[in-house]
Amino acid sequence: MIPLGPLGVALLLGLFLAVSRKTLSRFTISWLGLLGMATSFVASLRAFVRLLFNDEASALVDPLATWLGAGVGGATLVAELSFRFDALSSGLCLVISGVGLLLVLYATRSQEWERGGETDFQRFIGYASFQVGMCLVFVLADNLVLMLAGLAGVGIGACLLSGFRAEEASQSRLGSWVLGLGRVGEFSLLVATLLIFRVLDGESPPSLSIAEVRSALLGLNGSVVLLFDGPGGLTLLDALGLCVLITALASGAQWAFASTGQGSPAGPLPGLLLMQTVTGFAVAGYLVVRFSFIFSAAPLATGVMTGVGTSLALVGAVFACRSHWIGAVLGWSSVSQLGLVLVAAGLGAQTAAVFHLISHAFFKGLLGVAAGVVIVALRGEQDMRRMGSLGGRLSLTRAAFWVGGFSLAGGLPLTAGFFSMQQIAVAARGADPGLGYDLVYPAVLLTLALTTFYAFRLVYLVLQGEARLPARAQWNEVEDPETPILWVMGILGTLSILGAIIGFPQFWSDFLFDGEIEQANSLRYFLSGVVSTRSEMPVDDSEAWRVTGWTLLMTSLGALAAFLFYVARPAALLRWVNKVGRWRQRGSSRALRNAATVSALGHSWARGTRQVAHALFSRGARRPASESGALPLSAGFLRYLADRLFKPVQSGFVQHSLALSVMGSLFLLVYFLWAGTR
Amino acid sequence: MVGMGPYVDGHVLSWIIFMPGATALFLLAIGAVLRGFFGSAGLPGEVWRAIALGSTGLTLLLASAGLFVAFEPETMGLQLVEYADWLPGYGVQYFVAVDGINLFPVLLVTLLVPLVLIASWGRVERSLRSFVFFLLFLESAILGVFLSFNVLLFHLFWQLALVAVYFIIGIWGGRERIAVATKFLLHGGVGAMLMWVAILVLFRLNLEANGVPGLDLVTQPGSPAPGLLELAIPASESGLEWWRSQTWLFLAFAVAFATLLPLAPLHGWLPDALEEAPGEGAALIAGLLLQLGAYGLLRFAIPLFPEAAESGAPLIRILALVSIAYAGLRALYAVDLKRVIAYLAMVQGGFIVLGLFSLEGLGQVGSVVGIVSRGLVLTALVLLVGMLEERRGTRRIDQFGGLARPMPILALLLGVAVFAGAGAPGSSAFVFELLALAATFEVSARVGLAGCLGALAMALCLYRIYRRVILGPLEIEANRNLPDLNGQEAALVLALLIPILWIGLYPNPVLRRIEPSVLEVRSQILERGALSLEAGAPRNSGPSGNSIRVTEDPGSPASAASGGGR
Repeated sequence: MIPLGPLGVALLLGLFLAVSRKTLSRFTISWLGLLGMATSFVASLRAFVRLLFNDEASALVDPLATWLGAGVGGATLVAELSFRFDALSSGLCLVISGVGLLLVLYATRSQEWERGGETDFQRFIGYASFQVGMCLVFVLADNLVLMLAGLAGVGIGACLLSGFRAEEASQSRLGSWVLGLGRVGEFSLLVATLLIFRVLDGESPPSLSIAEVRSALLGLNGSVVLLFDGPGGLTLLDALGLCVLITALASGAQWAFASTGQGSPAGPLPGLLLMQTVTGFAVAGYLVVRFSFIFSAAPLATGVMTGVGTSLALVGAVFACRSHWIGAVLGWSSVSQLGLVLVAAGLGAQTAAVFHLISHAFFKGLLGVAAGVVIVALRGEQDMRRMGSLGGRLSLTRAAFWVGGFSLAGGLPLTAGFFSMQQIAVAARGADPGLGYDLVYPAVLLTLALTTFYAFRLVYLVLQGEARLPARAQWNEVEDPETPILWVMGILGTLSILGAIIGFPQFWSDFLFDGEIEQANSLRYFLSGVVSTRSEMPVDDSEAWRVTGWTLLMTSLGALAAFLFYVARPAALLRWVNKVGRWRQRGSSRALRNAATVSALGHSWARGTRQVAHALFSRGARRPASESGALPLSAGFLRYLADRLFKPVQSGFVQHSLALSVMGSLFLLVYFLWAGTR
Repeated sequence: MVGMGPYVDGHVLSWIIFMPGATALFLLAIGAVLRGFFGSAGLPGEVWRAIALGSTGLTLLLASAGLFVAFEPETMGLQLVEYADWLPGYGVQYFVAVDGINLFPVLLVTLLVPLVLIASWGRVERSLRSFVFFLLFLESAILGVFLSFNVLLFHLFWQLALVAVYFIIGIWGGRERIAVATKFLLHGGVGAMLMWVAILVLFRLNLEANGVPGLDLVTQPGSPAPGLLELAIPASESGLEWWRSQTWLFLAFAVAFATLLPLAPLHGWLPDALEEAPGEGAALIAGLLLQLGAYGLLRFAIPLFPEAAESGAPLIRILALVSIAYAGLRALYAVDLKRVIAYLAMVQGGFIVLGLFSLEGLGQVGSVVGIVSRGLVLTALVLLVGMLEERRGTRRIDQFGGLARPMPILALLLGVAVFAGAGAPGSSAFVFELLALAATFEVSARVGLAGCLGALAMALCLYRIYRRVILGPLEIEANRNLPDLNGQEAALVLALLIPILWIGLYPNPVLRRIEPSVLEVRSQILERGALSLEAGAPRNSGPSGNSIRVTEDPGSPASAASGGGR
């Protein structure tokens, strides 16, 4: 019942817009949006309480109906329309619907809809409700097919939100990319589902529900099922793990594209950014944690996940340090944090992963709202080089920035972010050495330093220094937002700090309370029935304290660097940047030039492929195949082939295609002759 | 059928089949009478169209009330059987019936034809009376194909459908209509001829085996001849008797069906036919004609010649993959929107074949859903493109862009249709692709994986085309003031999208009706396999374990484990 509220609201708003071609009043839309989110939040809370005080069942399963059931002969495929509310999904449900509620509250008061008017506002609330609703469906789905449907919904919602102003070329392209990425993720989860189905088939009836899949796959634990024979063979669990990982990365990448402003000169909308922190991140993280039972027996997939996570964490952090747009900094930071979650999940520290998911939702939501306030106050300016000294005008927002910044940096040993990142570092420290795993710990420490650096850079550039406002912004118009938004910031800020309680590390608790609390890490206790906790606390207490020391040292270094470059000695930074710029002209660090390199690589690859395919399959010479590309020679050759070989027979002349048909029939005939005489 | 009056009860299928055709003949007769006796010009075309609409509407009503309501789900066997002697000396019987396999295709036909008639309102003006005539004629023929259980009756209706489409393309098509119509008839005709020869062979085989002529598919009580499904046809023969083997007969049938499906390399006619046919004709080709091939494979080719189907299945699956890959790539570089639809038809046809030739019940159920889903989706797309073309005068993709601003309703409806075409969850195509791919994975993970990749590629291609047409900036001035769809057009498309979403969101009522019939067809195959074993004919067991499994395989985990090697 939880996803019903937002979905209903989305349907209502969409239908109203489609049928009557008119928009509702802003007041009605706001209340509808709030109502939808609030119902789902209250429902989640109620179910959560029921789950908490229900000792027998570790999960509430709510089977509504058989959604898709086909069973003939040996193969059956049944998908129930049922929702599963267990420790993992409950936490994420609360976070998604709760933060969603706060976001809608923020959006109702935010000024960013002035440009498009009420229609845009109604569309945004509709899309956001849809997105949150589908995300809840995804998180709650008890079987893989329903999960697939939820994922598709999330993808569509992401496309709608990121291509919000579809009449702009950049945004429509962005939306299309996001949709395509979602499709890739869906495809990969589909392959995983079908592979699981193939294994499950024969047990009657395989319902593809998560519990059954889990028990079946755990049952396989001893025997290795080979997917493909021969050298380079892949075990089934590894294949499944890779599929799930691809899905997680695709949904992460959807939001990375959207929020880092790839291809969008105006940068992302603040509202969009907020949706990203809630849904995209939750989907990606949820997937790897939910299927931890696959990863626990899939060494290859786990290794890939850790490696990808480490590199994502580093790359995201580096790009966040380089971005000038406030939204892009937060977007790249999300990429980096997702990398950390993947590292944690890859190392088996599922609790740390979930904890970081939740704390990230809080502090990134807070920073997003604060950034939105600044952007609106500066009339849509996103470039941090045109901000500065805003702390004087925005006293309450300043507090939000500092709390969020500290929590993101993990520098203040009281915030949720600090404890969650520290647990990840501990997990990285305890990783078995060898196979490159010993590189993970330094990489995580480096990421922490970079994270602190860009977090404080963000805060300093926005709040401190001299005012460098753009011409269109009025200094005296810059002021703290209305009360509801302040409330939103207040709640998120409180959660960013108090969120530490849910995942408080045991060794801190022992230190502070003399070991009086048995289960300080309540999240781990809570999750223990759901996720496989292979190596939650791989090191002893003294080592953990040493890790704490290292993390503190690295974060302090990062903070110090930010302070030096952006507050104390800005000129030093300028000199340094110039020097780097000269290096770059010599081509030494070209790969890191900017974020666009990544997509440029993709584009050139796509262009090459397109040329080849164009030469092969286009009907005529509409444009030269090789204007300027990496493959002029091969494309030319293929074009020659195409002109000589394929074009004549594909010309649409009857005799040619008839000849082809006859040839095809002859081929079939010959085959059957051969097959029949065997 | 109870409560429809004495003339309808017991003959509801005949009413459904012949109502449109009889209306056409009636209109023709009225025209002749008016012209011959009164010297007037006959009834005006608009009256023809109105009467035709009433007749097809009544057919739809009969089909939905008489079939869907009276149909008993979870009942095996044929229902509402009508059986009468026609040419008993040659084994030709009038034998029509409905079961779970043809129930939904029949509903599809009866739904699409009135919609196409409405869509033609105000568009088709030239030779309107002939157009209405051929449309009604085509509906009767296609309904006959779906409902016949006598092989020769089936063939007759099949040929009639080809002829009707030939005329529709040839008279109302575009500039190249004659060439394209000829091309279509050559493709379809060669297949039909092969099928005809195979039917003659079947007739002879049955006569030899039983001494009585009979071409019924299943044994009907009261008929002297047993059904063809009980005929033991040797899997292969050597020497001069080669023509009696299943392999050849299957091939003859399969070529006819694969041409209409269409499966590469027999697809050449489809893109041209869709491009040249009038909007309404294209809707009929894409929505109805293409579904005949898949139905024929499931109803006739596979059950009649199971051993041949089994040994040919690996190759046919590869062909389906080739078809999917080829069509996907061509779609990426297609310039004309209708050609894109043709390639989409090929891709989805490839999935239907994958489902059918997984030879798993699951995949075959999926393919039946696929027949319906493909018809609905393609018709919706063809109609939408037709509406766009009518406003803009072109179908070239590069002539559009940014249409969401002037035409929001079209953008929305086309978006839903594109999602359905791409097999997004929540649409009927998802259900069918999921089932077909799941069954394919059962047989071979590699083929399944390749199929998944094909689905992904086609989806990305469709999204890209949608973006280029609907989204982005409005750069071409001629697009700025295009009028949006009116209520009638939107309702027309909605009437197609609602079933798509219904099947996608709650497929169980549909699946529940299809499953028993597929199960029954499979059990008939099994019985027949047992018969041929008794007769001493060596049963082609195939190179590995991809045999037709009806009962639950006890060694499934093991077979799943070794499955990768297949």
